[in-house]
Amino acid sequence: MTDTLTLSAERSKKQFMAKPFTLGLLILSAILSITIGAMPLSFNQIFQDLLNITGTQHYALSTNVLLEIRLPRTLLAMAVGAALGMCGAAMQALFRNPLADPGLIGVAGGGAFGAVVIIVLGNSMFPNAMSYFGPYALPIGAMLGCLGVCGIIYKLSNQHGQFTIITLLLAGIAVNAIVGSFIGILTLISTDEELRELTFWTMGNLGGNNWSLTLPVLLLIGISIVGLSRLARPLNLYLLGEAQAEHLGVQVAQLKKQVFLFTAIAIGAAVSISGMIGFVGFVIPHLVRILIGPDHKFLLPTSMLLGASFLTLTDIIARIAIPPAEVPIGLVTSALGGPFFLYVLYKQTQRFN
Amino acid sequence: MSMIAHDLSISFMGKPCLKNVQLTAEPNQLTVLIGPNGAGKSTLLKACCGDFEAVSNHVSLNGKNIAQYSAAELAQIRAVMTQSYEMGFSFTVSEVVTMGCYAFEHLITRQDMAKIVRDVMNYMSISHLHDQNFMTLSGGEKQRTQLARVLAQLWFPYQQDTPRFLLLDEPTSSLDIYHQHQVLSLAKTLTNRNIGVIAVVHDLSLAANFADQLVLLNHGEVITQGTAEKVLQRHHLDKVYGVKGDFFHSSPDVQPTVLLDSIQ
Repeated sequence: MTDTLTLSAERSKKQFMAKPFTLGLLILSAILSITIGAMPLSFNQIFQDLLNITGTQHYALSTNVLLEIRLPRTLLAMAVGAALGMCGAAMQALFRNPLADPGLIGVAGGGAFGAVVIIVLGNSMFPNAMSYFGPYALPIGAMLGCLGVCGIIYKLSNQHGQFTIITLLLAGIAVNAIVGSFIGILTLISTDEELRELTFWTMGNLGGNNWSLTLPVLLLIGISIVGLSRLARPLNLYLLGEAQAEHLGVQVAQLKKQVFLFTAIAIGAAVSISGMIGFVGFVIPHLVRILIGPDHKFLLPTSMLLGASFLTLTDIIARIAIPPAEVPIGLVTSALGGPFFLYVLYKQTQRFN
Repeated sequence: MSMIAHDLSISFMGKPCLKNVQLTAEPNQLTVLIGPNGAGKSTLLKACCGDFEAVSNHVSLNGKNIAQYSAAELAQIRAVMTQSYEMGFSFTVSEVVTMGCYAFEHLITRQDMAKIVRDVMNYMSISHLHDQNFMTLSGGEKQRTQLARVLAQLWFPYQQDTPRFLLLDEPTSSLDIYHQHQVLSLAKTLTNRNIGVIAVVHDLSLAANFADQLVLLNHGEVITQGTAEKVLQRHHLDKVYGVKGDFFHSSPDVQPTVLLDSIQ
């Protein structure tokens, strides 16, 4: 990671600047995300629309686009990106390994399993429930999948009041493998149309969600972001080692459980509505750590803000790259994030020579 | 008011590590645990820290079982330096030392905390390293940084009626001879502040120099304890370490040493 010998002066300046800078970036990307799209909205128009909202029943088309499409979608992109960035940082702390990723605790795998079950088996096995829940069936299925898998992994790791990280890691890998093979079997028996739907689901998509789907996700992600932010100091101490943190006065078992639960809630909510969006949770915190160091008081909020701006910007690209269709956002995040991360790594290794 | 392990037995996977150990460490005293590798020194120290929940009702601190303290309460009255202190994240030296203030950082001002961190870093002569990445330090510098962090935990308040305890597991293992002496004389100084120190040290001469009480362990049992003259006797050294040697303390002007017989 950081190889420089004298860090502090430079680092504290960066730490101080990181939050305002990423906040500015987020506001900018939110404005871009609201204005850019199949139907461009100008500032004037948005202002007018907002003034007209009070009272009138019949909104102009632009007002509808703003309120029913752009605004929920932008908020969703920000929330999902924030969840991925912050939970990625928290997972890397929990596993005391900068290569960890929110997917390690099986949330994403469980979500995918739930979603694939709904897509492939939903209409044939529980048609009544499917027609009752309508568009909510898929996110609910994905959420149940997340909860189920996280529950199993939590139960396996939490023996005698100790929450063992190595068991958590191994259980996560094993359960992910099992879930992966179930998904494979379901893929085998799926029809062409189902196959197309589930393939797109695994590549991620933020579109087509109305307020009633978006609001619960915003709420769940909000809860866990607040919860995780409060753990910044103990997480710093935790990086010294579990015994060392305990000796310094941290309740380590409780800390690990809290990180696990908040991550499971946020990532579960994000995955269930947006599908699998890879790479953000791994690369954003890693990048932020290279830039401003490992102190979670700065790392967590900065990763959150940068993750939110990154996903908002990539979602704009996903929307406008090949109109009228949309590129799955997971492809954009990896295609853009990958080369950029390689560049940062290259610059880092250059400094050693 | 002291740290007492009473009838402490620990076994891992059926292999006994400690057998009915009795240990009393007084505040205002430096207790040094000695013994060969695998004798159970670190296990005893960890049990005293409260690392093993199963036996924590066999260890009492200031008249109360350590099981009854919360992690935060314990952190106020005892600090621990473990043998492993590697870290895979690039905190700076001063960031690591500041972590020692966690238990009481809500009680003091930012300026006081900065002063504590500065003081302990001066004490461990690592002030010049404060901006450096912890991961790029040498072994001895890492050890001194971690010692400074542990010291910071007990630095405040300077005097306190409640006895506090400092547990050090081989604090001198990576240090040069100057810093070995510096660390142990620091430990000795701390005992004047109503702090009891329990340390694991391998160097018998160093242990004899500073310890108020030596505790010799072998195969999980306390063989003998007391002053250096009493513990470091020829037959003990032979029985426990399998070496032939004698304890010398010729005059108050020189420090005591253990000298081994020449090889025949």
